[in-house]
Amino acid sequence: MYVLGIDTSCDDTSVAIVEGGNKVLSNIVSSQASLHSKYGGVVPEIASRSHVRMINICLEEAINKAKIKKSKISAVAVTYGPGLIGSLLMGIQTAKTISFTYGIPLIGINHIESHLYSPFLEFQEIEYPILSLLISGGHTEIVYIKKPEDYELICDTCDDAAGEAYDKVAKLLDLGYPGGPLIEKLAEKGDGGRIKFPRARLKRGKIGFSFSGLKTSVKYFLMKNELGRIKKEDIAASFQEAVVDMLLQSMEKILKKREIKSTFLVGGVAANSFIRNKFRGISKKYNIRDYCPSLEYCTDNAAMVAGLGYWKYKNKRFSGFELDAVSRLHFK
Amino acid sequence: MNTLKIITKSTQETKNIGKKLSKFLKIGDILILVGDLGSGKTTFVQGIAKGLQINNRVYSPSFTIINEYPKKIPLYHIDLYRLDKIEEILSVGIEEYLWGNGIAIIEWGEKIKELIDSYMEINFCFIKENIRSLEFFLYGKGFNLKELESYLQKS
Repeated sequence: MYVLGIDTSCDDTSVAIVEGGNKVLSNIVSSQASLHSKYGGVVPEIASRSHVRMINICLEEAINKAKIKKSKISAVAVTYGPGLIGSLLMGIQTAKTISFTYGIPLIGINHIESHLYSPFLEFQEIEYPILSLLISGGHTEIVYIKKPEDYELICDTCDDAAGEAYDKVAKLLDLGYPGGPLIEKLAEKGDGGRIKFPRARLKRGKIGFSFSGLKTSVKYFLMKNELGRIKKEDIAASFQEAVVDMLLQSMEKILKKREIKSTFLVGGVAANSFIRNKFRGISKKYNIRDYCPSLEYCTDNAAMVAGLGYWKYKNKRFSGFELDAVSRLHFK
Repeated sequence: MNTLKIITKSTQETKNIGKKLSKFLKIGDILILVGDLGSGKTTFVQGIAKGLQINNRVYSPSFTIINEYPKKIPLYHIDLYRLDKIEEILSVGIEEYLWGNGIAIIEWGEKIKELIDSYMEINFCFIKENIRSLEFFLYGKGFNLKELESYLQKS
């Protein structure tokens, strides 16, 4: 059974076709270089957020690449939040049109839930309960998944998201955008123990994240120490060390307290191999099987939307045509 | 032009100024926050939200661009950090949040000054560790500096 997935929650437009919840036939993302060359550079930086221009291109490409007839698609799943209202609406309108034209069910998908689903695209027989760390430009959350569709948000960030901290520190270091991969690369040549950046401490007994203070500490550090004396590589590595420490400390607190069978590392920042390795290490320490999706399923993509859509289809979680975009959205 | 300058010595003080300012703000008001990374803009908005009795966590919208907080007086927390060109800014539908049913606060808002006549601008300056100066400028109709001063000096 084929499900068409659409995601327009943030910068990229993405369309995918997934068979049976985990066989990805196509997963097109508007920022893919191959798409740019094929369509003669219709996607300069300014148009990247212009979903209206990209959605039909991505749709056509997804169907062509999957090599199936449109009439074979059984359902259309679309992200309805959280995200930018204007962007989300582009995807929702497209999905409604397809649903109406082909007479197939429409399924609204929560973007965060689709990230939590992403490991299921590649791995089978994952055991519950799962502890999931979602890290991206806009999210830093730990979610406990007791069983399918039973989520508990354990903690999130008080200020900046992890990915945002990467981007802003990259800016402070004059590295460019996007900051995540640039810092990671620089940090490989640096000494992470060189500078001890302060780790945010929350009130006693509380767990959660705060990255704004770390960003400001890097700023203070740069002001006091003219570059050259301490290498950018060491600053990047020390910053990364601090981020991972904060992320994993909270994970570990929960792993100690709860019975967990599997851990997930998902979201765009999960593409960072330094974080992946450390995350694997901590899962191993507690003898828990960890799951980190391939890079293309870490960043925003429609394959995870279509995959989760299949699951919702089987459980008859259909949406009506009144489905609307929601900028802020929680699980329940 | 008359301006008002306030020095804060901690993040808590910056939040408190935001909280006091919230009592002065009305539906339809636009605030433009100008200042470097780490100068206290988001912290300040957290204070405003608190004053508006918004209980949600207020986190940075740098990535999400617009965070909405529906309440009796809705707050639209906007961040143009990742956007540069006016066309790009308009493509995310920002105009829907200005002059609307709530208070719009725009970080890195200097990028769209030319689109707006009436607004309050606050410049965040880094003095030294933990110490910031907040300078208030009022443009167009609708704001009164004396009145603002009395709100911010209330204890």
